[in-house]
Amino acid sequence: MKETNQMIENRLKRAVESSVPNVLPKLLKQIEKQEELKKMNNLDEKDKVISLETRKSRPALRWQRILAPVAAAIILLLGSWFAYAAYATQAVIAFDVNPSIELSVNRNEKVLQVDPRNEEGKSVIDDMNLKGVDLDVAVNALIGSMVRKGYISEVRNSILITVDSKSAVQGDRLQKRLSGEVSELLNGYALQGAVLSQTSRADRHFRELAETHGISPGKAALIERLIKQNPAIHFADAARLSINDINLLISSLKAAPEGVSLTGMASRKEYIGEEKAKSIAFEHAGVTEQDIRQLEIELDYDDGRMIYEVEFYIGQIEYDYEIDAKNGRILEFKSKDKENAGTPPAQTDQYIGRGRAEEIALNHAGLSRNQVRKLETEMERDRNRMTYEVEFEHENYKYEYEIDAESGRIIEVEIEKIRAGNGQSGASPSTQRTTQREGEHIGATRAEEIALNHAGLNRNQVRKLETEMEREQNRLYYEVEFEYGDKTYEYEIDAVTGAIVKVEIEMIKPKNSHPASSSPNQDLFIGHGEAERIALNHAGLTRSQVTGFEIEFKDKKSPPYYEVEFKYGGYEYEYEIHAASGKILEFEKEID
Amino acid sequence: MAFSPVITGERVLAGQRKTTQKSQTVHRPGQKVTMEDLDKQIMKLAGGDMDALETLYERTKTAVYGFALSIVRHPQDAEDVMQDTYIRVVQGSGRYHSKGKPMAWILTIVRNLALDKLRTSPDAELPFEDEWVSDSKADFTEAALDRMVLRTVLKELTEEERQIVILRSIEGLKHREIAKLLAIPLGTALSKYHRSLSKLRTILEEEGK
Repeated sequence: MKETNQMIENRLKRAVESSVPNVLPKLLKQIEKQEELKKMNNLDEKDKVISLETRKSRPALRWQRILAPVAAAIILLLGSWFAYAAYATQAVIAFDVNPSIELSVNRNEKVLQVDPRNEEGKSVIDDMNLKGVDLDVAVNALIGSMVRKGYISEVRNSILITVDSKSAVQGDRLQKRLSGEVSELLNGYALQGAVLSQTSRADRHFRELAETHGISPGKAALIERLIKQNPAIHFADAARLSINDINLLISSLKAAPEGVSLTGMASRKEYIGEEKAKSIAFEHAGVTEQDIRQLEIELDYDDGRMIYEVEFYIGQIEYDYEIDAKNGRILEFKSKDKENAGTPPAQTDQYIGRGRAEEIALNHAGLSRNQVRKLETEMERDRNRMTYEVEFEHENYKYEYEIDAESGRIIEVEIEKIRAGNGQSGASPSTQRTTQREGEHIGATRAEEIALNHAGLNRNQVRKLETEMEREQNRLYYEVEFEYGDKTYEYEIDAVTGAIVKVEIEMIKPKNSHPASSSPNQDLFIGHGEAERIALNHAGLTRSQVTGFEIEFKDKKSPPYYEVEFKYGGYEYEYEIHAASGKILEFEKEID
Repeated sequence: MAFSPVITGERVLAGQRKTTQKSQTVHRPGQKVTMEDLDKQIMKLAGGDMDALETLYERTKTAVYGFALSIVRHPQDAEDVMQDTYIRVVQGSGRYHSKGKPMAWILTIVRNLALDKLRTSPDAELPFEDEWVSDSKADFTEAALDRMVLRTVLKELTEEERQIVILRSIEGLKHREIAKLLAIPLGTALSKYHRSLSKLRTILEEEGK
């Protein structure tokens, strides 16, 4: 069976399509039942608010069932079990802020072991010796140290307590008691603490999850419960949030996840606040409160950080901002014309994304992420199109790329030698020679050679080659310009050393001379001239060499494309060129 | 010349130059239009309109079931996940905040529920069985061949590979979207996709002999 990828994909699709079961009737019945239940439960809603869970996780239950008789047998066998009790761990209590610490206690709640789970945890414990002391005393000491060292503060006031007890009853009791104690302790420090507490068995599953994401098993359990309640949350994303952030997320969900109880309110002081977020968005859009309607602001998270989502309308246009809740940076900006919903130019789905833009730029420069410094990417609006501006530095050059946000096409490249700031590293030979004489210059021809060589082109391939000598702050250089394909190249070459000081490669702007430019979409397309250039370029021919040249814009089928046809050397060439990106979709060369 | 990264004219134009034998389809017919529509259905659902559930269900059932199946592999488990998913969608519709990515939202729910199922299901550890696909090699109808491909996917690919291939085939997701959904780097998604398909081609060619 010879199959292409496409055929395999089609087969797979058909096979699944024909085996989908019909769950709709069952589904509707189940929802109906739930609705009824909800109505009944509305009466005892109060009880539900502080629903302390008595371990619901199924794997734990199963293990308990299996292990219970075994444990009973062991107790019978070891008559002297009580003698061990003093040394056996009865419960492990984990405290998570950012420092993460676990205390193991025996039946009498004496601390058997103190386990810092990260570096911050170690610094909290410092040289305290808590072994053998009462749990309450140890908790007092830990909270005190966390406050003194600034881990708990007005700005970050959330703490998670996870009790993993051998006895469910004792576990619940401990959870309630510690939650109350910690709240009171924080009050004593004049902090409005927010305490999250839960019971959870730190079984293998949570240990593994914790290991993978570099968090504590308690935090892993908390996130899983959060996901149970809101399955749209990504574990990996949430793992990167602090307990305070997670607490805020929970408060935005209105109800606490099952098995987690809350006291106090998570601090929002670390964030810029809704007002500030609003004014940042307004300023960016160049509007005031009077200009807009249907304003919505919401605290949310994305990619492991907290964001404000600001949405509003001006006329028919919807503006949508994502603003970093901590530093106020605009992470994403969309505007969408509701009336033209059929041709949505501003859907994020259509953008290649910051990461991909960086990849394209780095790839083009032949560099990897860890080779470069100061990598910065911003989304910008350039006339009618959105672009990513990717900037970074490598060795003593600064790179600047402008990349079409939809097609990923490189629109502009600028590579510039970083000027020696305060005479540090960069006392280059050229700047030292204050008296430059004509004889010392490399000459225009040599400068052209250097530029062409760098571009990997030769003199006959390029158009409009022009070279001039220019002076800038005591420095003489050659400016070499030429065009190749659909791009213009501009080089600055040090007249003395021949070093390339700056490279700029830019798309030649599509000329709007074409009559069809009345359509508002036309700006999104590359234009006939550009399509012609791309096709001829690909064939390695010029317009004067070919015969029977025809070009047609077709948008009957999606995506719109240019059809370019011509003849040369007994062959007929046919191209289909993607109208928005200039990508060659199809190419045929046939004997005429 | 103290200029390390060599940038040639060739590479600047790489986007256009690197082509393309005859009829390479770059574009996948988009779901763009239906995405907006899905958004609408979810909003309606949030408002208690149960008819919207039916529309939503019809539009998404193949992807939901297929994706669930790619993780849990057993049809009965996949069906359970499918049902739970729609329950969650109904419950979560009020909280759903349109980012123009309703499908990603739904598929994330499927994934979390399916992984949960995998952890708790007693069947999860069992090797894959052909419970439902006829294995008669003499059957060369198109439908039988289709099923054979599905069976091969479920049997021979790893969990991650299965997810990638199914999402790509059934929902036509972009690699970038798949990478985001599975929380893996784009490069990994791409290379795993290509490796999986060449693996499938090899196996299918063998079997077809």
